[in-house]
Amino acid sequence: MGGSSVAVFLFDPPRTGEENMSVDAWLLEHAMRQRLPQGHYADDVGRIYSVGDLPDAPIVVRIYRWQTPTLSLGHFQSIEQLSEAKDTQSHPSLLSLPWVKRQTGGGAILHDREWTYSITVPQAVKITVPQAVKITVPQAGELRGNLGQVGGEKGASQGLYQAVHRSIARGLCELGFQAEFSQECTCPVQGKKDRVGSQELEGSSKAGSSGEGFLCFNRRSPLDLVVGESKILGSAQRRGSGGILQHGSLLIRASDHYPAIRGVEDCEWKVGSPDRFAQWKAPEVWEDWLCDRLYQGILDIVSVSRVKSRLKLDAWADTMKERPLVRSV
Amino acid sequence: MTIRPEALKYCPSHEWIYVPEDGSGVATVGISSFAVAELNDLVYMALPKVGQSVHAGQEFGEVESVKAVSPMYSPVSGEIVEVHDEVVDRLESLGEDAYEGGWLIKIKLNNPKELDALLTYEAYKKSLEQHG
Repeated sequence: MGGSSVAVFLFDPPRTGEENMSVDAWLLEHAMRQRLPQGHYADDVGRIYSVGDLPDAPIVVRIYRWQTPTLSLGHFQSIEQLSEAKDTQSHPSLLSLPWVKRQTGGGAILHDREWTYSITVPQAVKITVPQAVKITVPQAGELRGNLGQVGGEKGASQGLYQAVHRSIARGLCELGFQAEFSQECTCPVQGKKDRVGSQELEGSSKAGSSGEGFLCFNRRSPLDLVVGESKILGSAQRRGSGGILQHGSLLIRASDHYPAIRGVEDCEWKVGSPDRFAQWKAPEVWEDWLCDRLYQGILDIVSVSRVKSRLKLDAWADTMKERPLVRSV
Repeated sequence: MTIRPEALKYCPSHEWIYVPEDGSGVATVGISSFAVAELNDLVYMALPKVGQSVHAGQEFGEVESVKAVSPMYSPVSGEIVEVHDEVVDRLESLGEDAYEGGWLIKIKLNNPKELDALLTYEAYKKSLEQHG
């Protein structure tokens, strides 16, 4: 375990795409200054803290949704590619949705019946990466995949990525889903042919050129979580010199705008179907579940205590007056 | 131009800089072979435009490996006078040569004294060992 720190969990009401990305950019700026935004925070037993009461360099986890179905584009993707991509041509209603760019990499995400998380980790946080992790999961589900060995600076950011995905995978397995790490890689990489499973495809590796892969959930990379044929969790990062921002999306149900991309609740339950998770009309159940899984994942790599808070609009709105929102350009 | 890693200076964030002794005051900048190996599987890179000014420590570009975007930081202040745009379309070549053929930008130095704050090759190697 690494040094002692604190993980602040922010529960946030649904916002527009621009607001959501601006809040995360704002949190990353604070992380890079090893600081927490001003405000009041409460721990698990209701004690209230101000920023000065908490240790420096806190990890901040934000769990949120979007006011309306919205597309977030990967940092190197463009709106022109969106309109030309096969995924969107076959589902033209996607083109009518609001969209925003993320600071993180990867493919476009359709935020509809899903939960998004962001984690900002200041550089001062010491992440301890397990040297080699062989996944074994008890009871209901079976999780396959060897996460291998990681080290160095990449190890810290990859360690975060792995820890979060491993924790969510464990949780899904315990719920009765057969969650596992993707065995495929279809990501475009320069100097390599795009790969779909073992089948190699000819083609350029330019952004948006990988056929169906403009949408993140139509791509596969080795740490993605899949249930059966469905990818249900994908994450991406921005690694700055002062800190890391990690975005992730847990799909709960398929969107009417792209029914072929299914969520957790659309997948087959290997063992039963717990009532409390049976319907999307209670999304806060998944919010609590995701909060717990993210906390458990972080605990695997950093010694932290948990503090919870609701993010109030005015906590960041004043800052936003001084600079524009992350724009959809 | 011969660029040997041992003769360069480095940022802790893995950018290298080469300053020729020809009196031109134009330095060449790239990212180290260690950074290229760490990033692995480069997908996209964005570089600045000629004529743009940068400050020491300021982002001058970004690179995406699979799913992770990493900014690249300028080691010094100055004006960008040349950009190696060709490398953006063949990022895999950085894995073979991150120095001579893998340079990214050239900067007309504003303040050569900023070089004194950068790491020598030995110090950079040591920092890698400490963080590795």
